[in-house]
Amino acid sequence: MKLYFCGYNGFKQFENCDELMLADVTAWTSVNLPKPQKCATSLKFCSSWSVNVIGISKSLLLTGCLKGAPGQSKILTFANEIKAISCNDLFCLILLDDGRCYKFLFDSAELSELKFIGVGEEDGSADKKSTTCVIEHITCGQTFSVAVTNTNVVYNIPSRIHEFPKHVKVKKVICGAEHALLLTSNGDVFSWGSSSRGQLGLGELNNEQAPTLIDALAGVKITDISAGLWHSAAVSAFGDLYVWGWNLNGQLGKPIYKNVKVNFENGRTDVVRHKDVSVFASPEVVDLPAQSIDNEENECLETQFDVEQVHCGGRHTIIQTKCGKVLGCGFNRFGQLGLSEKHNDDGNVVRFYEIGHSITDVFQVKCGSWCTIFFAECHQ
Amino acid sequence: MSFPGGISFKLNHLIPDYEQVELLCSHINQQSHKSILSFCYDVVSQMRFGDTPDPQRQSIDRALFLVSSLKDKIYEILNVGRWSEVDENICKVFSVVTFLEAFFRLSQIPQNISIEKVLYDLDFGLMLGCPLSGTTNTTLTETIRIIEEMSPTSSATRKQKASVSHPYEGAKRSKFERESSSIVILQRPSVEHFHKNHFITQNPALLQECMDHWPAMKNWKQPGYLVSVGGERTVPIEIGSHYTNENWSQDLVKFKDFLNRQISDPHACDRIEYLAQHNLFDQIPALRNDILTPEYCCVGTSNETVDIKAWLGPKGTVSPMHHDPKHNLLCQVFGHKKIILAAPEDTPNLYPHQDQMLANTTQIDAENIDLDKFPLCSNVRFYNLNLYEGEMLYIPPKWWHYVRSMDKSFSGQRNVLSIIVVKIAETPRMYGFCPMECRRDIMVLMESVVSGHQFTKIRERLGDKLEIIRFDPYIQKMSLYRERKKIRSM
Repeated sequence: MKLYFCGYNGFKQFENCDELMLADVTAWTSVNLPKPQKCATSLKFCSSWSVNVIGISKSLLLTGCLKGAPGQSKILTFANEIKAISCNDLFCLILLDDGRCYKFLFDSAELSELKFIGVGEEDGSADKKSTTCVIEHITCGQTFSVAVTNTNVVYNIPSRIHEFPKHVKVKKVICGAEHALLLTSNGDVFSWGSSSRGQLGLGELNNEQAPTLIDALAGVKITDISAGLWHSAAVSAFGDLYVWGWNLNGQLGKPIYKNVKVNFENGRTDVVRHKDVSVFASPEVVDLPAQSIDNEENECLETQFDVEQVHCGGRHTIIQTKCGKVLGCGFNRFGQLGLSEKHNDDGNVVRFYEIGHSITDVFQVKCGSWCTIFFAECHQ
Repeated sequence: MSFPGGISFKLNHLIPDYEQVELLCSHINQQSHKSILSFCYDVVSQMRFGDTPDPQRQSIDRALFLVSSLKDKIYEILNVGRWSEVDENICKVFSVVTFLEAFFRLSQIPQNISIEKVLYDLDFGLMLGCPLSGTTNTTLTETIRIIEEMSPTSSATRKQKASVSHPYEGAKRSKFERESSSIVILQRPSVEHFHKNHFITQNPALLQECMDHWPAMKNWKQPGYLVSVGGERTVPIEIGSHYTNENWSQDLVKFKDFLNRQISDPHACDRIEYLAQHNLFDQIPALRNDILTPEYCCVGTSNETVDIKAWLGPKGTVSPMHHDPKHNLLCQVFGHKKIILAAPEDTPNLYPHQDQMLANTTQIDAENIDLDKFPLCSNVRFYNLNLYEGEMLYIPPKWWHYVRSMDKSFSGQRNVLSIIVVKIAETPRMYGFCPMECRRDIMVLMESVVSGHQFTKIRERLGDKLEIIRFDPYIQKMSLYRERKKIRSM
């Protein structure tokens, strides 16, 4: 199996790669993973700007800036399969299949088990097999971390903030810098946290303490969600992409600037470029490019792309279409999208372009904070 | 733009001490930041003691790349949480990395340097960063001064611009014009008189002939002067327009572009740009030398600092009637303003907003009062007056004031510049020159694009405009709302 990446490598988090990726952002670089793996679903990936974390089965591979030194790597092995990982600038959270949760601090390289009130000790009577409360989802942002248990209790670790009714099944939870999104299996999206840049999608800039249903998406069955630092994205069962939040670097696929004509009394006109609206507090459907220009025989040609999955990096967005294409937009100063200068406007890509089309046999795409990852089969 | 190399040596003495930076890092407690900064300082010391600069090229490039990425990272941290609650140490590190980025960029091969970009980044650092010590960010302002001094292009524009065109005509008070309102007009009163009869008793006064000796009174009316001093600098402006269909917004622009569009060109344009409540003089210290702190400011108690801000823009800009907690001295450098005052005693008749945060703003339009809607206003005693160039207006704390800049068509004068000297008796300023304003909330007017239904909304003043979808009661459907204009700062 091969891992292709593009993006920031200032802490040598990708071994054997040129650290001045800025010089040549178009080149996707491939790395052979330590152990060839057959089971694709057991692969987990997350990254901060300085550390990459890859989870394969029971082991966790960390590379980058650990204990303040760049170019480090570390392998941790757990007693059980890794179920989920999530990280921010300071630490990584690791959730195992048995519901145990660990926290690994990058600066001290310390691993500790994360315990918070209510989990695992719900029934003090030691009758654990009946209704043991086990963590099923975990995710962390810059300011808070979220855990959801099999009993539908939502924690802003360590405080319990909400409990969904029994019939609800939580499908996915994801954190931005200071907001969280939650997707249920019947397609509803809930959000809470800060909405300073409209990232909650509730039409307001107010904070929400507990999960709140995004009304604007009610009635649309959502199948996938993702969150960047201050932006959010959702995919509907019809293959539409919805985005909201802060379009600082074009991560919503919208232009950042607009040209305004200034007319003078004497008939002279100047064209002034100024910042366009950048905060979108309600979900909006994205008009994707109808087809890719440089690839004429592809089957997507006739219609719009149907989106299957969405992944958000810190300030960029990647989508996978049903016909297997990958498109991206947003912050590209460190080559996060692997797009060349011609798509760039001062490091920003403001509409969706196809990326990584030279890579074959891709089976998984992931976004790190400042990078994009393709996992591909290796034929040898 | 480019100029001969060697400039980074001139900046050597401005590099903050590593010990100081290390201490900052220990406050933030992120090892990755520290590892980049310590690498940068290694490269700096190599550059200081190395004989040949060429072998270091690669490490300089790497330091530049790393410090730029750290700046981007800190920008992300700055944007998490509320502006007003951002850790001061993070803002200080932002200043340090802004400086180091400029330093390494200027150490590159001269042909590759874009001075324009360097200056923009330094101004941006001034806006978001925080001085390492004291209240002025000398590391950054000095860097800018040295770069501008060294840069051949900017001195060329200076000469060229200075030779063209003639000074602006002033909008002076005519001999026969008297103020009908009973605001006292004083010619150069003594500080003691001002203190006893106005400051202590909180009585507004119009002061004449008090700023005739300011260099600004002569210099700033030379059209090329402001451009030559600060033209390449980036300043925050507010954009409004005569046309109701264009939105209000904020932006960062080159000072020279702003001046050329709004001040120098005698033909009015349809887009109003306003440089408002900006600490221009902390950003461009050369302009600070043109104004003198009025003697009347020394009457306050000794621990009060004087805060000086600039308002520069074309005619037609309006500040709705509001009051401030501080003593204001509005100094008109050129142009002419219409001002309406009301005493604090009339507050109950002025319909302040109910909202606690907006309690210092009235709901009325002071120039066009709707007495049916606001009947109590008929009891208010309004003081109407005009402020001409060279005059100062003392506005005591809590006095209501409405300000509109006026056009003086007979002189072709269509621009207005005034300076407000404010004494702050509250918390000392911690941040750079702009963030005090950047970090405040503003109230904006949202309007439905379908029906024109409007409502107001409070948001952080970040220069980021807002667009939302919500229920529009006029059409009984969801509608897109766009930001139409700013109502006021909070």
